[in-house]
Amino acid sequence: MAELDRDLNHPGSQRTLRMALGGIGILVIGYGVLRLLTDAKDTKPSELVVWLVGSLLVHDAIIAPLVIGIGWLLSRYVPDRARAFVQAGLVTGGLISAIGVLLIWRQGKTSARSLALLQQNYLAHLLVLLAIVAAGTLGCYLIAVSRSNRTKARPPADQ
Amino acid sequence: MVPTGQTERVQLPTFVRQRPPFWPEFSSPLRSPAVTARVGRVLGIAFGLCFVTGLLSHYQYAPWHWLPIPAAPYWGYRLTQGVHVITGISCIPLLLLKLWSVFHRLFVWPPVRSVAHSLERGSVAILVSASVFQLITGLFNILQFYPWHWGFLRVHYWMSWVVIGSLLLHIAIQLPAIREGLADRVWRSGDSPGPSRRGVLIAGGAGIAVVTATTIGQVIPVLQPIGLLAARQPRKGPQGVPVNRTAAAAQVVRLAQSPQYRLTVDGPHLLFELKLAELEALPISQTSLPIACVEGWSVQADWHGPRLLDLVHRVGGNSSSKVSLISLEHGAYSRSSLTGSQLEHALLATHLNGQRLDLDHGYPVRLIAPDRAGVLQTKWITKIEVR
Repeated sequence: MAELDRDLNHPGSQRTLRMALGGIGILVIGYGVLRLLTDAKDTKPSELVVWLVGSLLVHDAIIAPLVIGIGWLLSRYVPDRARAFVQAGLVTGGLISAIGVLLIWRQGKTSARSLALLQQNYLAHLLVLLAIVAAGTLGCYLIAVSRSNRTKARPPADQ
Repeated sequence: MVPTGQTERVQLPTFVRQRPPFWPEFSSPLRSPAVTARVGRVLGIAFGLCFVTGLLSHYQYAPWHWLPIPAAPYWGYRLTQGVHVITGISCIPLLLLKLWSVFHRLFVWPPVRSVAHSLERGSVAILVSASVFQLITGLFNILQFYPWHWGFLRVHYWMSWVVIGSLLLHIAIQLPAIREGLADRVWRSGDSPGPSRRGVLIAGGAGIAVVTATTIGQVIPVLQPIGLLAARQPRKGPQGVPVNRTAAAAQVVRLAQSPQYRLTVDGPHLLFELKLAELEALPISQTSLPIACVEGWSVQADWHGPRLLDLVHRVGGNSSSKVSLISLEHGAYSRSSLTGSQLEHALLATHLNGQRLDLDHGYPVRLIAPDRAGVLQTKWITKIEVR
């Protein structure tokens, strides 16, 4: 491992590795694109392109600005220490919700009961999970506050 | 491919070099190569797992004749496809975290510095677009939601090459930054009391862990009670096993229950037909095998029925014959083939978990063989071809 690390640190060999990786990457992308195009009857490239661009825009134009907007509001209105916990809670809750909202959206929309598919109350389940996250975050915040109060109450060690 | 060096030294006109006032500029001390490289390393491993298990799943549909799907381990497909789907679902929050950590780079000024830089940004656009697309449409497939006209199976397969190729290209371009990021510490003692990098990683990790824990119940029955976000609850299906295609959806309700039902066995030396009563009078074996669906859910069950190989022997075939099972239904999965060790262990199941097979599970008879994708466990069998 150390030897590999030393080899990699050598600019020449790192360049070779990067060239090789990049070259393979381009070939593999090309293979996938070529097969998508030659299989056009099944893959419908013109519709597919709309989906691919849409996928990029859903993140770059909707999700990301929303997240950054929330972060900006928090940094303006919430004090630093509390913000650390609010933000952590929002990150955890947000990531869980990303899956949760899709399930809520599709809940009950499948054809037959025997599929045993999407038959839970996902809204209730998501709320339970978010409540647990909120309670956990609040608990951590209170512990942090009481700890720092105790530290402040004691005289500093170097006096 | 290496965008630094000479190209950076090219003098751009002043109005291009300076960021215009309307251009968004934001930065957060939380976004750093140390965080990005760590999240990226996990995401890269997860993508690799999804790619390899995806290839294995794809192989189930069209194995080379000299390398048939083995029967052992009987839980092989259950494991690989469970890993594929659970890892894929967990990649959604993981990817969101990764993209958040580099979002500010979308607004670098100038947007394009050089030809190499534009290629680098183009490769990132392909990677992001293909990854988001692959994960979201993969999840839609699990939910049996197809709001499009293209064929999911082929698009998901060919797109996986685009994703993995652009990931390799991305690693090649970013390797120096990745190494620097991994060498940098996440935790710094001088951090302010506000949000920290470590906090982001812990919070993000917690979110991903909750998603994984609450969806994995569709693969591991013991964890089904905490499967709050699991799309499937395997034990809730008829006879304790879910189905993906009902008899009604396959339009076989009448045919499967008709008194005219016959099972035809067509071999190199003999062709014969069995009435339902004759089929049910054959000597039966018992086995415990999982149904493991391409959509990631799986469940172990008890099966009873005649051994497929016994019927194959009666018409002059053996375990190296290619045996095709033809269903009463028409469409993509109306037939499947098997040979070798899978054939030796296959049952023509007439009973599931101690009861006569439910109509939705393939009444009057279905195939059950080890280490085999659920859609290839042909239901409502009407003909067996031995070649």
